[in-house]
Amino acid sequence: MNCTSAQDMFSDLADDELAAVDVVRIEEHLATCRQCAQEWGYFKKSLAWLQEVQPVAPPADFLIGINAKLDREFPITTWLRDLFGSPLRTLSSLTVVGLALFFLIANDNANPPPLGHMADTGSFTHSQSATNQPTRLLSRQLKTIPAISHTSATWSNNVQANPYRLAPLPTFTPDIAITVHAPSAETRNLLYQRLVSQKHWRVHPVRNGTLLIYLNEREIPHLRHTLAPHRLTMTPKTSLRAQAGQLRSVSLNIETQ
Amino acid sequence: MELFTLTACLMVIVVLLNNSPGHMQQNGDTFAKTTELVLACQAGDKQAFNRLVLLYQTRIYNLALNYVKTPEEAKDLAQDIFVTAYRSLPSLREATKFSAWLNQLTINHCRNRYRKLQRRGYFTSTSTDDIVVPALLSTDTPEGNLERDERISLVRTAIAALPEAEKEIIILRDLQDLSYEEISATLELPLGTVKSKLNRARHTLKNKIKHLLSTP
Repeated sequence: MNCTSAQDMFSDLADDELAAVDVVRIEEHLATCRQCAQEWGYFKKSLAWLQEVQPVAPPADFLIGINAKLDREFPITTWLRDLFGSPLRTLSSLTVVGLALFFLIANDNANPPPLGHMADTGSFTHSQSATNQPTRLLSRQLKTIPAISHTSATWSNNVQANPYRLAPLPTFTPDIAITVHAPSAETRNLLYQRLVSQKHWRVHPVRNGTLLIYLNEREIPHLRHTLAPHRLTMTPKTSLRAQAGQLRSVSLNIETQ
Repeated sequence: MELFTLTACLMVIVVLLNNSPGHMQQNGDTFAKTTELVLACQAGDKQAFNRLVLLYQTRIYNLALNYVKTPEEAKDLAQDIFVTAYRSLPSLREATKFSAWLNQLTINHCRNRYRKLQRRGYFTSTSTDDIVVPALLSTDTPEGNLERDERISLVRTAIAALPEAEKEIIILRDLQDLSYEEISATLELPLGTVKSKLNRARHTLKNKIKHLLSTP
């Protein structure tokens, strides 16, 4: 064996990868070749030094950093995980989405088409007795109040055909539902523009030039005051009294003074 | 009651220890666990990926450490490797080959980063010729520990100065303790080539630090 062949085997010799016969041959060579023996010594020592290089622990925030990078790279995934990562998060997210839809629909209904587009086929000038209902009503019940309150087929049909029937409920608990009829389109539009901006009233335009207003009894003076600049009055005045704890439905005639 | 509480606490501790990544690495069950985690990760389980990171972070971070200068850069490089792994994991067909796949991914990433930095003149010439290593001291003393740290630093410098192909094979074999077969799979080289390249690389390294090795 020459020196080159011997030194080509150093690595396998160090790793115990050599066949027994080759081990014998190289040991014989190392015993007789001083230079190769010295190189073998350096070789072993360099490997020993290499063995001293121990793995370094990664920084403590290593995993956090990876997740931050992933969040930047996959924002939608992260967004979904944040929203639906746990049952509690899912519940919260769905609640928020539900509320968002609620207000979205509410805003849509705050800007309905002009009332002048409504058919002007008749009028309700009569005052009807109220139908007692529990003060705290479920949304479904509250939306059907006019239909329950009024036996008139025309009125009932009008309410069912209300394009704003999906409108959300008022955030307050109304105790009076007032139906208002204004014969002229101009009056209705003025009235609607005025009423719809009020937070504590809920105004629903229905057909036949009629508005439906949910409000609390204490708001009635305010309603009168609001109507006054438009030279509108409500009649009969006495029918506006509501019984405590009961929702009353009152139909009013509004006339130009 | 107290005995019951104590027993329950001990049971919880045992369960936690059995589930810790460090324990998995030690008990030789890493391969099965890795496969299980890879499959879970491919099914969209992000937590499984986090556990995979915990299993392999030391290896990948240390591999990266040999290609760049500072721990911060190594951290950034290693994190990028895991991000790429997360992105590419769905394309891994055989979950059992995750380890080799990750090694290959790491090497490719490190090579690319190294070449990119080299083009920008990031690496200055590294030479061990002008470094004088003090006489070896016992590692039982603080001086001995300092000496060993310096020696490790010198070896790292020498490795960094190796040609790319030789550096890779030294890192994989002598620092990462990969078998010849694993290195062959990672570098996509025949086994015989791996052996001959490793021998050449070790000789190169030895020659680079020979003047240090010759000191008593």
